Amino acid sequence: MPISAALRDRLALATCLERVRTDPADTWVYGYDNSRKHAVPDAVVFATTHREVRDVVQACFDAAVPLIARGRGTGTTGAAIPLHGGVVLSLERMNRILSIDPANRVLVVEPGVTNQAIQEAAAIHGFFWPPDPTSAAYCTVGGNLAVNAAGPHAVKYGSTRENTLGLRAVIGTGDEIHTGAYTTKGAVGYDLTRLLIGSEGTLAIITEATLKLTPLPESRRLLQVIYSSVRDAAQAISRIMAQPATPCALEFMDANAINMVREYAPAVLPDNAGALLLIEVDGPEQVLDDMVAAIRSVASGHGLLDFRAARTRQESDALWSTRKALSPALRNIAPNKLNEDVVVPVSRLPELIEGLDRLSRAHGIPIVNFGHAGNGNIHVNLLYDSQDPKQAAAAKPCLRQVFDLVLQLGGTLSGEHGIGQEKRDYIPLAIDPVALDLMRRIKTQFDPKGILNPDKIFPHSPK
Amino acid sequence: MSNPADNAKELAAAVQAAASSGEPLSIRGAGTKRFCTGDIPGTPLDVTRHRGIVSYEPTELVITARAGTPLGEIEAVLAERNQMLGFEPPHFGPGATLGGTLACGFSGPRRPYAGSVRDFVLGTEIINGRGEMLKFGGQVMKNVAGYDVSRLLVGSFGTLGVILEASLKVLPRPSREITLGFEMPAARAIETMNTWAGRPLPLSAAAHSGDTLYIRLSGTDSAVRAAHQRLGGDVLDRGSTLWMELREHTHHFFRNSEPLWRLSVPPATPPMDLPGTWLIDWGGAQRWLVTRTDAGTIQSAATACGGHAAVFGSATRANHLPAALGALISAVRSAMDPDRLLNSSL
Repeated sequence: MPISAALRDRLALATCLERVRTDPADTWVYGYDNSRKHAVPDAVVFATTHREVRDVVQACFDAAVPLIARGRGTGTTGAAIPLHGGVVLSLERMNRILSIDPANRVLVVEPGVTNQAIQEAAAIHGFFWPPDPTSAAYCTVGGNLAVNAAGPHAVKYGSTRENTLGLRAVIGTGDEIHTGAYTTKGAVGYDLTRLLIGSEGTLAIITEATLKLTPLPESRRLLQVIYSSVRDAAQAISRIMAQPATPCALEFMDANAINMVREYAPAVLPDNAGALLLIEVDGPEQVLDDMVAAIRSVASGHGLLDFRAARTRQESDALWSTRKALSPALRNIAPNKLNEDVVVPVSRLPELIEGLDRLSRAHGIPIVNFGHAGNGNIHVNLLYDSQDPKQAAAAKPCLRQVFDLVLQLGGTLSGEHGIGQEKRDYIPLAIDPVALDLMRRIKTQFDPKGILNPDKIFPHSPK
Repeated sequence: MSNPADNAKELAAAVQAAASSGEPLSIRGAGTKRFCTGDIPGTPLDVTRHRGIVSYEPTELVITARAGTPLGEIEAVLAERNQMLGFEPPHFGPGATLGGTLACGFSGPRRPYAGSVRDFVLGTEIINGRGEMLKFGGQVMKNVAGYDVSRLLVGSFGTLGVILEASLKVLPRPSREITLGFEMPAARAIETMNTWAGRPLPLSAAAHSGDTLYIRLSGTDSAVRAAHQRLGGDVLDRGSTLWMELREHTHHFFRNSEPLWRLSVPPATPPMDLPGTWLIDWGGAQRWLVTRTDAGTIQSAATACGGHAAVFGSATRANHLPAALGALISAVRSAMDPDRLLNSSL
């Protein structure tokens, strides 16, 4: 349904005529994200300042029209899709780094700055911002905040929530709030910063973020360890995480993933490899040998097939190439994939992988698993062909059983991608009705008319 | 060690009874932080009998305990397996409970380097103001399924719900920990702490008191040795005692009858021009000031440098909030506790 002329005028007044688009030829491309779902918005508005965002929210509040905040559309769960039309508020032009304060190790940014631009600005002063999703070159910090994004280095340095000090935001009534503080510790009020982070644009539109920076490590060393089974690897992961030299990355690939990249990987992978770990340690050059020795001693144990430590940049790149070969390989194998990012306690990893193998056989759908093993966050990829009626019919039931398995093992549906639209209907499996009801009531306080990213995260109320 | 007991049903029944009678409740732990909350009017709701470690899986780095469990008991169990609570919580008295620690949200000297209480909370079980039991989060390290209500509860002083149980991420104990002393005035100490915090060093605490900068290094033997070589300084024999005294406020600085102010400022803020005695912790971000100077002067000085100030032990109310934020916070509270039964005076 097209928006009213009155609303269009107000949006143009809030921004400018040129930055309000209603022609489907313009709005079409703002209706998708990396979930590959699509719905056309009635209007796309490009905001360039906090004030414009506030005025746009107020206009949508008055007109009771849905408002969907959008970064660069790299999310995988359909969180940025305008399910019911309405206004997509593109924040890609709010891409300024407002201030960098190396003395206090703080960076203040607008939401449209890319993760990589943040890393580059921080690196000039010897810092980095720990969240490092694979899409860093393209994704925005606004999106990182919306889903509490993370990547390989979260195992040591935490995710977006642990690395954000404060936010400026506009809630669903058009009112502005500041949360947290420039200082490390905000003493007054409730911690709304961490509540907004991960809320996928359903509580407020973030217009400014104060990020906590971390000193870049002097040096890094990469290790590749191969085990004959996931069970042996999982026990090694527990031993590695329980010793004090915490690795800065601890990535995992199961046998299916290893077999997929064999032909791409320059390093020879043993035929009987059941699980592969890529372990990265960081610190001053002179202590890295000790750290590698410490990891080697705990990594040694039942089922260890191969342990190698890269000594040069080239060797390190060669080891990473195994992991990096995965994504293109996945694309070559099946036209469609359901890409989940479940989390289980590390000790339950063997049961997860065994269970997934069982489901794969039962449903005739290949499942390939890899991910951030140090915190139990595994990317489960269901590979299928939507043109094959049998596989197409089996994919969704198989996914439901994947989630059942994960919850049975004491895990959760998502570690870093969020819920959005794709996992929304599975949320009641993970959160009991009373807690869900409370979350809905919290949303109502921020967004009384329910205009902010409606029908995401929470399924329709049963009432 | 106490006998574990699951008292959740009784606690929920008590909140339900209060919800029907409209009689407010005063949530009680061991009372070690009462100096901060004052006496809270209402029928006492004693959480200390709901105690015990529910599960502890050292290989998973996760512990789950009931709110009434003494912090000391949790720390002792972790120490047996060479693990610890990363946020180094102050007890402020014998018997301090896990519930009180979370509700008040206090963290110790390790906070700027390892994270605050909130950063370690993975999941919680609570009773809301209607007497319903709710669970948020879980026992896994990463979770973005639904809103992060667990962390909202930390530091909310019992005003959003009665914490029943919490799962915390724990850390391996560093294999070596040393404290270095450097004689220098406050201005140079602040500069030094912040320069070092901007480098990849294994810092785990930094404070300045009197004329000495104290730096704690934690990590593997070789990392600590390498950092010590780089920084220089003398190793203190009584290092661990010092940090314990700063954490618990038993350091002689805190033995004073004049008002104790806590200033939270950007860490690199130069020494502030306010009369009194100073102690600087958290690498410059947390500054203690013993002074008789009037509140207005102190607060405006803190605001001027982008921070805030409050007399320690009186800062539990969210005063001076902008209208929109104040209204929102009040609305969130109503969503959790519609009749304002829980710690209503806070």
